[in-house]
Amino acid sequence: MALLDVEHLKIYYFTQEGPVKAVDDISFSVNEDETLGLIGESGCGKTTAVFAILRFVTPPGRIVAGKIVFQGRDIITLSNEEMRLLRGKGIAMVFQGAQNALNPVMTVGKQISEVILEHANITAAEAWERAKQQLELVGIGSARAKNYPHEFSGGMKQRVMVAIATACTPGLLIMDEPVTGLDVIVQRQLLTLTNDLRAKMHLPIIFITHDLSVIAETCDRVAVMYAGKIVEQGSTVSLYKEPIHPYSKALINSYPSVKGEKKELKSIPGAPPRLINPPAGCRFHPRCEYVMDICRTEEPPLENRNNGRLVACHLIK
Amino acid sequence: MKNNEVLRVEDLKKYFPVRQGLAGLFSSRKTEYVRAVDGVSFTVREGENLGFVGESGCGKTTMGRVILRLTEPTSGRIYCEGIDITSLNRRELKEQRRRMQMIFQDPHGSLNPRRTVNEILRQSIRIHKLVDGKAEEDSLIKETLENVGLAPADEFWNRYPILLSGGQRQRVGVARVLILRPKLVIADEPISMLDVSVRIGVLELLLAMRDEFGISLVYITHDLATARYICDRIAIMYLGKVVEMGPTEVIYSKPLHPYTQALIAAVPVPDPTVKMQDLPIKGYVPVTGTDTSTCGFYERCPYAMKEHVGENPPLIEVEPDHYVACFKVK
Repeated sequence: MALLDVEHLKIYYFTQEGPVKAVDDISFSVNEDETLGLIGESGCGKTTAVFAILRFVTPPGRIVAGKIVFQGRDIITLSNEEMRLLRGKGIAMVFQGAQNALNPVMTVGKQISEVILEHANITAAEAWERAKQQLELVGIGSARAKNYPHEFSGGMKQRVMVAIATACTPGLLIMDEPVTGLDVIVQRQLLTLTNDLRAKMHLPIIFITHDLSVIAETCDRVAVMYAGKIVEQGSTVSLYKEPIHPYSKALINSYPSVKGEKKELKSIPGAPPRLINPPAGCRFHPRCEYVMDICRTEEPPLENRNNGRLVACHLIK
Repeated sequence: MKNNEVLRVEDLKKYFPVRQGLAGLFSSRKTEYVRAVDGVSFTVREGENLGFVGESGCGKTTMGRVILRLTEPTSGRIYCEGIDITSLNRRELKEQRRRMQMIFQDPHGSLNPRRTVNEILRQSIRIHKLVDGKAEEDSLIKETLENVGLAPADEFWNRYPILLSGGQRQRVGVARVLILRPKLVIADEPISMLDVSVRIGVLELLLAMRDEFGISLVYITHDLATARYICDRIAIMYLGKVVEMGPTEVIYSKPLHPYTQALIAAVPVPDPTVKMQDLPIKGYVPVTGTDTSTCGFYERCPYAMKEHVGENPPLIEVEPDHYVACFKVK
């Protein structure tokens, strides 16, 4: 059994204009010791989907249907208190723009030990020691435990966030755009840290990003999201080598690289749809170069095509 | 000056004084400066795209603004089509601005939310008195909208920016510039706020400006991957200085400055079978302009040489059109 099973999850935001189907019937799973990449453009529902895993979806948003089974328990049915205990220890998260998520008037060491004290039955002094170890682990060094967040650069603050998230050795770590907005060199340092931590702690990770190249460097499997749906899912190597869904294909063909031959880039016409009134049938059909009549009316199911690759497209039968 | 030069920048500097607060008033300490742009020289040829790549805080945005005198330079000369921009008065500068335009990073913030698409473009026409009469204005607006891929123009004519997607808004930003038929455009991170799937479309549009209208582009970005697709030449900036400059493919295949090498090694590759390269350098970018007597990269450089402390490497031409500022490179 997988560590995390998300089944037919639907999350709608109930706005005055009508329900926005931010996440519309998605299923995926994460296994022990595996990094799953969730890739998609802004507004495709990837952040909403993982917010649901931590039950962070707040009104007007609501989990309308589906199951989220983590270590055998359905998260959606847990009480608020059970959920509070699960966050940080069971599932931890590194937030997008985490640089601004730190408390500016508390030393970073204190912020780390605070999390540890919440979940472990130890003294404050022991927690402080553990916090110092965490700072060593993420490459900052225990000497800076008494520094305040403003004394750190953006990349260092992001490391502190990783230190907090991994402080209680969680069963699953969620990273939401952890390197977006960081400079390339700092970004590389953080990706290396992520890969090291994973190797050391055997930490399963869900990695959310819009950056194809970041996924390529970190993830074993990848799920491509478009307009609230997962359109393709498979191992990173095979999906990048041979994307099947026209959207994944277009995304990969429009992605520039600094290395190797300079390949011809193809642009994708149009823009992602607004989810309040998504196109009927396949949501990608207005932008798809292979569009057929059936695509305009009937929604393609996500089906197993070959060796573990799941694709939602009428083209492939 | 050579005939095909659209822009020549000579020893451009922009220093910002560091405010010291009340204590500064009474202390005898000298005012310190952040050297955002510190002695940059380059030329842009006709129909050429020159990319400025660097990390945040390296001074690339300040440089772009100084070239158009949106920010006044501390010293240095800027020649656009042979005219010395730095010596122009306000009226002359306005005249010249028609020839040199800017595309901004944020397509949401740079368009007036209370004007429709056609009003936004009409404003540009009227400020610079491009044509006379409403009918002629209309046909020029229509033609320009179609040039930037907002076709049919009627569909976008009366729309407010809020009703456009990010990519469409940036196209309006390009249209507003294109309608003036400038010789030089400075584009500051024009696609960094756009969705991945619409970026390439806007990049193609910028390339078309060069190929169809002969407009030269100074493309300012932190993104080495897209710069490769749009630029003929690349200049790498670090702490307000150009450390390496040369033809794009030369820079990517044979970077000579250790900082350029590190930057290129750091960019993730969209290919899961390629292993991450080890970074040759450590540490973080220091605060701009602390000690400027030594090469700004000294602390982080794997090849740092003690005998060159207190010296700055000059930017020298190591092979035709390829410039490097490093003591290691001979």
